[in-house]
Amino acid sequence: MKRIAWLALYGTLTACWLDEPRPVGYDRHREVLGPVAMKDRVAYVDTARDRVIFVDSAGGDPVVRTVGIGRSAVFATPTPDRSRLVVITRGEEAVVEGQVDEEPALWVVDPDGGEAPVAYPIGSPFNRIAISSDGAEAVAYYTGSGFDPNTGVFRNPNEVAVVHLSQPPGDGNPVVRTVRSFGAAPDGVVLSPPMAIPGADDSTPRTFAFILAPNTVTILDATHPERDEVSIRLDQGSDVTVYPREIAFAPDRATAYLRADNARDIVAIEIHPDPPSAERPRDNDYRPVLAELGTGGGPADVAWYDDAAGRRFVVAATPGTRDVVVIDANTAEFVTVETPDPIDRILLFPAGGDQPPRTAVLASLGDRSSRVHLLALDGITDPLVPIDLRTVDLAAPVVDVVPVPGRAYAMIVHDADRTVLGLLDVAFGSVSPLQGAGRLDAYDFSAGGTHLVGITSGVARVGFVELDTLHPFDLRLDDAPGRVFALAGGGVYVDHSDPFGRATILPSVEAGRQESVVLSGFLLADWIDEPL
Amino acid sequence: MLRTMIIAAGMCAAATASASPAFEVGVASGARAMRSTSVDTLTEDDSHESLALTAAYRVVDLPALGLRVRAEVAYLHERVGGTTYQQIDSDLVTHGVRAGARVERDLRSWLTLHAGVWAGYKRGTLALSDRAFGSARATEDTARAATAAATAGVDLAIVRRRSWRLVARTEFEYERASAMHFVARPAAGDDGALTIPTRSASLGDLDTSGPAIHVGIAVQF
Repeated sequence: MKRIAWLALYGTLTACWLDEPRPVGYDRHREVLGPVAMKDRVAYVDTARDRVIFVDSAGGDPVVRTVGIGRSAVFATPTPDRSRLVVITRGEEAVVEGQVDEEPALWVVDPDGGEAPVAYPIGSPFNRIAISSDGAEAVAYYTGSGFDPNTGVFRNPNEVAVVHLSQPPGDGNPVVRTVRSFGAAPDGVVLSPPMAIPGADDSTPRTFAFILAPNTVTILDATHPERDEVSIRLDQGSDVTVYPREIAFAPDRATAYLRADNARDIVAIEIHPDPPSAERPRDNDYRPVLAELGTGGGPADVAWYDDAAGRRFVVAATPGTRDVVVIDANTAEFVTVETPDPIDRILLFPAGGDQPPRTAVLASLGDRSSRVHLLALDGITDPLVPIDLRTVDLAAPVVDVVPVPGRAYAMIVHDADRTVLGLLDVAFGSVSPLQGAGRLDAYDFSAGGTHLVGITSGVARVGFVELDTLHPFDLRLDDAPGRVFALAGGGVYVDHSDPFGRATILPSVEAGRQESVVLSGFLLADWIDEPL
Repeated sequence: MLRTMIIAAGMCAAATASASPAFEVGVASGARAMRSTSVDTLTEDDSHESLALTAAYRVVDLPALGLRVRAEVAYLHERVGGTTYQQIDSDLVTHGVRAGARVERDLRSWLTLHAGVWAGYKRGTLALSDRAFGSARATEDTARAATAAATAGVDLAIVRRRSWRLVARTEFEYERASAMHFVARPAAGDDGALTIPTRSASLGDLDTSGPAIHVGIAVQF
């Protein structure tokens, strides 16, 4: 009897031993978004830990910092000035105990930690963001990718969320709405720089969202997103589908220039004032006025620049007519330059900076031509100035042309694997060949355009070419690289595509192995301590 | 856990009475339930199995109180692992030693209650690997912790002879351990090549404190 009692006591104590299941959040699927290059740091987003991880190498000694955001990140992009990171999180629906209901949100994260992350509730699980050039406005939207049934029963592909990033979240920020559609979902959204409408009652500069869809461009006032949008049909009743691809802006004239595939010309969209109707409270105060610039054919590429006097010029290539047209956007006067090849790529040099472009590099990529052409832009619309078009013969067909930022150089790519390269000196019209040991899978140009930095996946080296002397050199790595970034402070960041986090950081392009540092496991930093 | 209960129940049925000799060696297996949230990051299984080897010596009898005191040393080996985020495989192995004192009281010739206190140290090795894609560089790091424990249990004499006896022991324990700090140090893939100076991120502090149950046998002679 007593033994039975002892057995019962033993069983009772043992029964008190209960395995407690851990929170279900630890069983979530994990992906790592990034790396995303920012100013002097690189960002990653861990979709299971709900964290943004910044690797900051500005001080010479790399520092890892984590910031918490919402559930299930799906997309991350930096602001145009690369000072902040914007992330869309899909949120979570609580199905089992331990999960938490959370709505989709757009997060703005300050990598310096001076401000806590700001979350804007966007209402739907969008998967792309467009941000204005001044970083003040953002539009979250859906891409044309497949519908994920885990996100709901229905999806409205024409729904967008307009977020005023310069203001805190609250009533009217963000504004979630549906834009007018003619049966197609948007291909993309482009935000204008702040533009004041000449002659409008409201003269404050505002940002316009241009929503691109097959046969349609819709203009939405992002500064006043509650107002009606304006849709522009591009197909003009024909059977050919027109796909808007590129937009450039002349903010001083409140004008946008649209290039579209299968279009017969570049369309200038001028925004004119149009007082709103008192009977329609949501009526807007503008209307678009369209004009074709007269390029003479379907443009394959377009570029734009302001000359030293501030006049806006549009350069368009029409391969069908073997012409390049330079149009004075202010007067609509144009000059047609006949080209030996069907040009489909235009690059202007110098690119960026304060100096206006003086030379256009013209290439025929679709035709695999073995030459490029240099067109002088100074005074090109002056009838007294002869057209200066020079041809540069190359050793092999041109597959791609990539400008070197801030320099009068362009990298010519001669094969699909990017193993045969050339460096075009735009000023002299000379080309120097470069050869790669393998496919150039990722590359970047160092700050100031002094060096080309490149990597080949599977080859544990990072290669450099000093562009002034074309001297090549490289650094042996401990692991195969995945991505490479040239940081604003002069350093080089090599990511090794490791889901636990692994990167090699060089303080400068000339740094050796002992001056460099490998960061290991940073995507799991403080993982054990971290509450779910 | 079910296996432990069955073994203990079987041993209870075979118990007989005997006096207690001076020396003792024993072996036990068991399970520890680590209740800290830090362990949740490594494994979905709250408990991990252990193996203990013990040696004890009867140092003093207190007949007026009906008590007996043994000094004991033990070696413990524990292991736990799991998968987190469907990707990160973890494997934690600890080796520990401890010393302490156990106080025993015979309730019957075949039944003894005991309780004890212990202090020791353990060394843990944590290995992480990429389950999903195998593309992550595996990490491995070692850390140490000081431990303190209190136990309570029961011995059932299975075999009693004049000079020795065999007991079945069931013991409940609570261990408090200092945190083990791990870093994401790359697992050694030693091919002799020189490496770039490497800095490993801190993974954090792991707390392995929690209750345990041990079931085993001991020979007293």
